[in-house]
Amino acid sequence: MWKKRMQSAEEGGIRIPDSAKKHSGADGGNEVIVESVRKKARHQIVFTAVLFIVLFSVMSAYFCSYAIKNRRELFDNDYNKRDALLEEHNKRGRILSADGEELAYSDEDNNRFYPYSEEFCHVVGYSILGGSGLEEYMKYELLHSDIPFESKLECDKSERKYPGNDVTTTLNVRMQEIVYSALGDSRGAVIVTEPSTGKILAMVSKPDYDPNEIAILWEGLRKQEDGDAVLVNRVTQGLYPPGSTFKIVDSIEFLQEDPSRFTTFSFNCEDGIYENGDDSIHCFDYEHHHEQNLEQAFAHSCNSAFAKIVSEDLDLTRFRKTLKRLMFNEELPYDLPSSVSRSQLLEDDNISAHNLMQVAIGQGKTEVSPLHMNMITMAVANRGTLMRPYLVDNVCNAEGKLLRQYEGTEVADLMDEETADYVRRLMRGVTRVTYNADNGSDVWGTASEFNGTTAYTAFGKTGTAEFGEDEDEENSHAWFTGFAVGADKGEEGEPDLCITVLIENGGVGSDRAVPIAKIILDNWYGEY
Amino acid sequence: MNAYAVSLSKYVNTGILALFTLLAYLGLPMHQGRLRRAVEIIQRLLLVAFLVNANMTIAWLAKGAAARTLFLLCAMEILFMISFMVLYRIVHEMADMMFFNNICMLLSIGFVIISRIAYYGSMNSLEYRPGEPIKQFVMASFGMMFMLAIPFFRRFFDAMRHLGFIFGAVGIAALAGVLLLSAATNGAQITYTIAGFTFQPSEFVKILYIMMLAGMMSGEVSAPKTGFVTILAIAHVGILVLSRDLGSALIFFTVYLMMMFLATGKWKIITGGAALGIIGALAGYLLFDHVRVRVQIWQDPFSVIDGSGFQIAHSLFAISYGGLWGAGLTQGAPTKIPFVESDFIFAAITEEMGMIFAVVLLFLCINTFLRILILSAGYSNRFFQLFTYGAAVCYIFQTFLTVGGETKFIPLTGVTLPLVSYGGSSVLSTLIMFGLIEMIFILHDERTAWFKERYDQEHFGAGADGYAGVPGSGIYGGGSDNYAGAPGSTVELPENFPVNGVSEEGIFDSGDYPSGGISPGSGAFYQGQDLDGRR
Repeated sequence: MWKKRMQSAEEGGIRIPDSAKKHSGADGGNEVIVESVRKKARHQIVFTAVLFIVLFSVMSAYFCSYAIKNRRELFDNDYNKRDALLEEHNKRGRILSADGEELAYSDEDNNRFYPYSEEFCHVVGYSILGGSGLEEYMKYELLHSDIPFESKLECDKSERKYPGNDVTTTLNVRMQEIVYSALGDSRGAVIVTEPSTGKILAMVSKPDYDPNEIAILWEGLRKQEDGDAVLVNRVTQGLYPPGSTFKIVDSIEFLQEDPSRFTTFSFNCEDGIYENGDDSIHCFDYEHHHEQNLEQAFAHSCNSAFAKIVSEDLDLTRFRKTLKRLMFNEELPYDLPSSVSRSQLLEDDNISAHNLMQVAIGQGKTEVSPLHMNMITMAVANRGTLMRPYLVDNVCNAEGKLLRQYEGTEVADLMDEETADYVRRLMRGVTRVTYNADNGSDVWGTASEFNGTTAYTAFGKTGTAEFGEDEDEENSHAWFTGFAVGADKGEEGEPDLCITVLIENGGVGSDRAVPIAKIILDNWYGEY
Repeated sequence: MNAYAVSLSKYVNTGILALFTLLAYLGLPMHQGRLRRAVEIIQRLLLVAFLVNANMTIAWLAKGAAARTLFLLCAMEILFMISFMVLYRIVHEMADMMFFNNICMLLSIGFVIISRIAYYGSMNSLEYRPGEPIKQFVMASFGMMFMLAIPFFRRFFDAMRHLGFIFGAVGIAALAGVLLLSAATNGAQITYTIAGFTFQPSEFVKILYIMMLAGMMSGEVSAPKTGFVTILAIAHVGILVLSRDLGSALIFFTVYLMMMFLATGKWKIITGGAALGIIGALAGYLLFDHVRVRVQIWQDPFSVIDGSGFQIAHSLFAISYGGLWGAGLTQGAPTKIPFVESDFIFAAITEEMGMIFAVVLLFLCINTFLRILILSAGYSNRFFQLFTYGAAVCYIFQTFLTVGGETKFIPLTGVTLPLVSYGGSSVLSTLIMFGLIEMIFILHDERTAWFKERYDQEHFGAGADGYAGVPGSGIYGGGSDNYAGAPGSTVELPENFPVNGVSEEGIFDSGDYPSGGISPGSGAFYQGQDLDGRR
């Protein structure tokens, strides 16, 4: 029929295009498609369209949400150098203390100034040369400017850069200054936190440097010998054997296994020495502690008693679990760079009797950072619950409008409440003098300098971490970690502060670290 | 003040593209008529506005010679777009101009971002090296000339149906040639370098491949024929896998799968093909180190940021930096990504023009794809339909691969974003493919019109000649009314109205269908402005 039509058309004087002729079936074309097949083809084409529309929609949603969610993390990545781009047209924002004092600010040419010079050098850090501290951690906020559009217009008019956002920290200038001067010329680290929230009130590391001069000092600081390591924030990145402060950890495990041990435990430290097989451990200066309960052993920091506890009484499998829970051998829940503490017990599955005794008294290969020790102390002070330590309270735009407010967040329960309360009692014994009715003598805690303070009540544990072979003062670090309750709250009240002091090569904890801690707390609470 | 100009212009760019894309979608179901003409013209104005705005933003910060080069380039780009649009319209009246507009917009976005990437240094020390933008511009001009020329050869197209085997053989030979000739260097071996001019045969073989599949599957589908086609397809994919050109291999495989699906109409091909794809991917993962590396990069590019993860990590930096509205042209750092202008152009666009712009761009690509699919659905000629469909799938799947790879949605395969990415082979081959699509559309329209005319003459007798011969009068005149809506033209077509005739049923016909009924172009055809010299 089709051919017929075409013929008749040609006869009728209409020229048919060659292509049409060829197509119309003149060459036996098979293009005549049955209607049902065509309909089907449309189903398939619609399916293809829908398939790719869905695929593209999902892809768009994915990459947009990924990019928005990870914006800050990607910006902060060291390989991403886009902070330099922002610095070309934004003025870096200010870093403020909790009470609004400027800790760092910039002028129009993006020169950075640190009014407190050395006092905040490690925690605030510096912005150039790769950056460190809060300057590096908060650079996303500091370099972005969230002022309103009209304000940006005004900046354009007067050819000024857009001011970046201001970061308000949790740092307390008064506390930082007390700590800074209390530490004096000692090489070491101090951190003061608020255990109920996790706020970091002060963080000092020495030796220090003047961040205003960092560009000039840089080469010299980098070339320094290892021991100085001025740029290192010892609070978060220093690792030291915990010494006797590790007895807090021993006690947590000991009491967690069986709370009744608090009252039933008894140990006779006859010669100031504990022997297990061929190995032995002795108390500090071979002191004789005689018959004592747990409180007394803790207050005396009796090595023999704790060597016995760890060697004989503890379930090592459970102890390992507890160590993991206490964040040994893993990243600490802290936003800025921090070192990973290590415990020999976790690294050595078949630990020898000798090494186990070393574990008990925080010697050997066990290492912690002052921050980590402070976190464990915070958990004890806060009835077992660790609040994540944090430095940034809020972020505002340059006109003071609040953009982001940060609150304390719970990390985990590091121990149950009962254990925390018992450990708290143990730590109270360290800071006072008690009367032992059994033998009629006084028990002098290793931090009994705190005995009789009226403005506050202190709790704590001292530590003397030996390293190297010689038992020389130069070869041991002095520790104090503890917390304090203001007198207004009474002895059983909720602790206000948690403080950890470490003095490098400081000798005995009770001689060097405790006085510094006491100066800090006395000044803070106004104890004279 | 500089920064302010830059930050305002990014909103303008996004607005222009959003409006353009919106119009493209509104125009999708529009039939020829005054309204559609108006939409086309608005789109062209938007296109020019985009080119001016974006280029001026870049030029704003440039000084001296760099600014002059940019002004010149911008003027040339605008001239290029306008002249090709006008020329195309004059030469091929029946062409689908909204499809053409989309192509021009995609090219323009490419021009702008390649121009921006040609900037080196920071805001304080600008240096403009116009080598790549000019090269791209020249290649696009060549491509456009091809597009313009291809429809003139439409009368030969039907014969191509029978040359499937030859296309297959040529394609396999070309791909195998690359594999054999290329030195066994690391990574993908995918290019020929002839007289300093590097080109990528797989881009051109794609067209032959689709032609081969369309030709061989357009007749009656029989088992031996299907088997033969499958062997040819496997040969293509196999050589590409051996050349380590995984992106192209995936594209070839998918195109085969989807075209087979359309040709046979069997849904199990989709499920079976997907299963086969998964098995193939697993086998590739187990057999090849470089596949494992890519998967590893995909899962965590930051763990290998110093080595193989560098590109994708920097792509993610770029994408996240711009935010919703982008950093503004010249305000980001897309040049930190190696090969940004070819393989990571989408990341550069997202960084500087913003996520909203990027998503709208993706939907413009989808629009282009849908437009081709709609054309394909309207064809009753199986060869036409299969080729057009295959080209659509090839285009959109390649877009998916490159955007998905850059955004860590899927593992990176290193293919270009068609029309936007820098690269002569890519631009040229895409424009040739789109030229063929336009050609088929013109061919189809012309035949439809011819049969329509024949039919009318038979039914309305001499009168048909009468009204057709008077310009501007009657139902076909002026081109403003569509056929179906014209008074007294309720045409009842006979059952099984043959071949390329206008069909009554279906989703896209009589109104929906972009060329539904008789287009103004075909109206003009009646008025004696002949295409084949018939009148």
